[in-house]
Amino acid sequence: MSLLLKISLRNLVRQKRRNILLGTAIAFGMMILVVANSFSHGISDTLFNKIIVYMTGHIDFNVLENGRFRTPITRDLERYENVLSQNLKGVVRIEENLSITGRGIGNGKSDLIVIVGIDIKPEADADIKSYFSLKEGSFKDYANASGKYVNPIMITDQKAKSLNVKLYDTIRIRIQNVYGQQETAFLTVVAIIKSKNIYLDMALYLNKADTKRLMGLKAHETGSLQVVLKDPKSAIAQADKLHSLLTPNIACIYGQVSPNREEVVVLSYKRNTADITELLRSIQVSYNILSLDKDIVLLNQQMANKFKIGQTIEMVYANKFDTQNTTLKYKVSGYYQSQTKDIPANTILLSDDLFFKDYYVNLPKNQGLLENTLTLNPQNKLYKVLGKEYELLERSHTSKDLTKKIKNLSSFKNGSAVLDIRTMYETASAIVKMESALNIITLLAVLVLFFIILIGVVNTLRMTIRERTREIGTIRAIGMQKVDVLRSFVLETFFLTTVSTLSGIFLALLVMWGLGQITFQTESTFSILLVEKHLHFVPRLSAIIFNMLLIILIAVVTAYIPARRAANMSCTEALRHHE
Amino acid sequence: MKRITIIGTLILACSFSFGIEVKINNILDALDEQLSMKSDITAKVSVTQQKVSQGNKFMEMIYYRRDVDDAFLILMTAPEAEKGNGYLKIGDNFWMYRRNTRTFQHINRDESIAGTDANAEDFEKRKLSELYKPLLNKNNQETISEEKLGEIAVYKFNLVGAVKDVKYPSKTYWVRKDSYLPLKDQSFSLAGTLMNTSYYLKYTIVDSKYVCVKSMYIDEFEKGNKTVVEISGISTKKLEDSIFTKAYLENLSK
Repeated sequence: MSLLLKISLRNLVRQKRRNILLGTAIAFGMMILVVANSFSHGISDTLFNKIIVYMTGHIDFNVLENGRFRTPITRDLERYENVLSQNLKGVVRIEENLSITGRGIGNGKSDLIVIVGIDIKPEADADIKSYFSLKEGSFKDYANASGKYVNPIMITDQKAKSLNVKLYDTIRIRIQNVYGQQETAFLTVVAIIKSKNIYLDMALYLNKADTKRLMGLKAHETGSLQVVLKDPKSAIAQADKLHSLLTPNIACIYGQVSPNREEVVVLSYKRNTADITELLRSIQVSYNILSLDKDIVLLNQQMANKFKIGQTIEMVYANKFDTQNTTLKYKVSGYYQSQTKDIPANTILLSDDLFFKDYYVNLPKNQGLLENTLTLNPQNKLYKVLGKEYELLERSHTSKDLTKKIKNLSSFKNGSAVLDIRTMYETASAIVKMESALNIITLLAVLVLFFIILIGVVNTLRMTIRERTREIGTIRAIGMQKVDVLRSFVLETFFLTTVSTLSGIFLALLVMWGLGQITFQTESTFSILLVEKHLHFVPRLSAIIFNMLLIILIAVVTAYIPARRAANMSCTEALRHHE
Repeated sequence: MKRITIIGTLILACSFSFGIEVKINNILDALDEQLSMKSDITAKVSVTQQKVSQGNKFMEMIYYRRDVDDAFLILMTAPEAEKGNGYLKIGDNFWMYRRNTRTFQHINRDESIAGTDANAEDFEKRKLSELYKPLLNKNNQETISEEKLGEIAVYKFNLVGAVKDVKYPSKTYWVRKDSYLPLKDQSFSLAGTLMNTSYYLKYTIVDSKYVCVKSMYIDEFEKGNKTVVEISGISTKKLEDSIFTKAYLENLSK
């Protein structure tokens, strides 16, 4: 074997010029491959781990009220955080998406602003550092433990420039909270930061508690919940699974009505002809609820002797998130007689408009549970017509489906909230497609490269074999076996490709370092692919080794065919060969 | 109907003259009644917007409204860049039409209209008396006073949102003593900052209802921004159903 190695190496050195040329071509190809691959991985890293994670997360949990799709409100933060963390696999983190757009006025300059709620530790963890670097001020001031600053914010140097503000200046802002109300506030600039991606330049960063207050949210409420997964590609399967687990409960309020503090259950029915017709199969009513009036209040016939039609009743219930009670007043429209045991005798039936107008503002303690009566059974006809704690929207598998679904949201403006589970494949489909397109371009480049290597190796070996035909005849005549002739040619190719690919990798690292030093002063769409205005390369050892082995394998396999032909040559024919 | 409205307004106006306490809720009801048109409408609307950062912008549009289902169609006729674009609302569906691409795009409730501060939900028909209630003082009494706005005797009163999804959580109104027509209002943010002052400069009577044909809105938050809205060519002739279709809007914009 050592003799074969010596022969192969000697043959490589013998034909220096030709092998250097072929080796250079392979090295160049390998360099292009590594650079293209690292660039593609860099873009994927920026898109998936920076932009998408920042925008929507890999899975986006949205509860929308009143047909407003821009301002999701998750009312029971803890409950849904638990649902997500307990049912999803490989969760890196669950983020509260708190953001709101508005207008800001700095020193004589105004601009559009996006306020994003984030909390950071005083020492600023590594995750924050991957998005920003601090230029002026301090993260300690941002944390505002002493309460010294009014609404302390971090602002990017670009935004500070557009609003003409410096450290400790104030910005007046006008925003619209989650209910559509106009809100104003002063923000204090306590940190000026440099973002690592132009995409982050728009935002002003404010701590979560202050952001929630400005947005009109309470501590137990948030915007949407965004889940970052270890394996983003599992998002669709995991979202489908989550969706199947989120069948909603019937929304109900357990309360007491004056004057005798009688216990009642308040349920709602969906205010549309089809559902009311279905409901009327189970109850008889003294009021024409098919009139679709918004303010209908129906009492069980058994309550008729206590509450008259037109009388205003006062109901009190305990809130879920504080020790307070909520008092609601309803004007009795009529009575119903139930023909089913699924509706408790002490039930007050309201139209969904009337019920949900108050339900979400102060969620009742017994939110969404109708004990011992209408159990959670989606097959029950009453389940379909009674108002639920949310309506679960069908999963959309393309961005087109999602757009269609959003179009229909306005039909939910008066009823219960809707819950929509989305993944980045629908919400950020353009970015996902861009990543796929880049991967295809890289793949095409690789295929072209492999084709060039194949032709180069075949051609070189053909020439070599032709030139060495008499030599092959000689060594075969003095006793070398066919298999050894074959091996010597294959080994020669193996050494050539190994040295060339290693050189290619080294060259690629040099090129990436060089390209990474160039600063691109652009504000075009291309700039979202840059990190701190520089190209972002992510070379992966596994991908490099895989590509290297693949090139060696292709070269060796390609060399095998002419090498076998050389080995199979008749000894006398080879010796007779003359050029 | 015309008689009822006028008598109602007179009774309300006289009640104060005779020392009967005027209730804000009654004024709000009268306001809703006087200003709500209950017929189909066609009108030309001109909007002159003055923004410090963007200069002056003039927009003109034709507005069609059908009473039965409160559907409407807006066709932009100026400026040149907006000409041919339009908006169509039927029931819960609201579309924006772009002439360049010849496409209709669905608009949700919380989306901005024509790059202005107005949202699609601002076009929903809601009564003032449903949105606001009187602000009560420490003694649990309404705050209503008598003032002069220029030469005109007015009632000034404060309102707060009766529902949560009201754009301005509190407002102050100045309404004429004789007719209860609003002449001025101020809108405040949740934090109590004055955001906007509106002046209702000119009214006309169409089918026994008052229509404000010239109004001015001053942005008090970003000083220097103001918008003047003028309405002309009002017609209450019944409109064909075919007007409130995508095809009609597409044809009009050609």
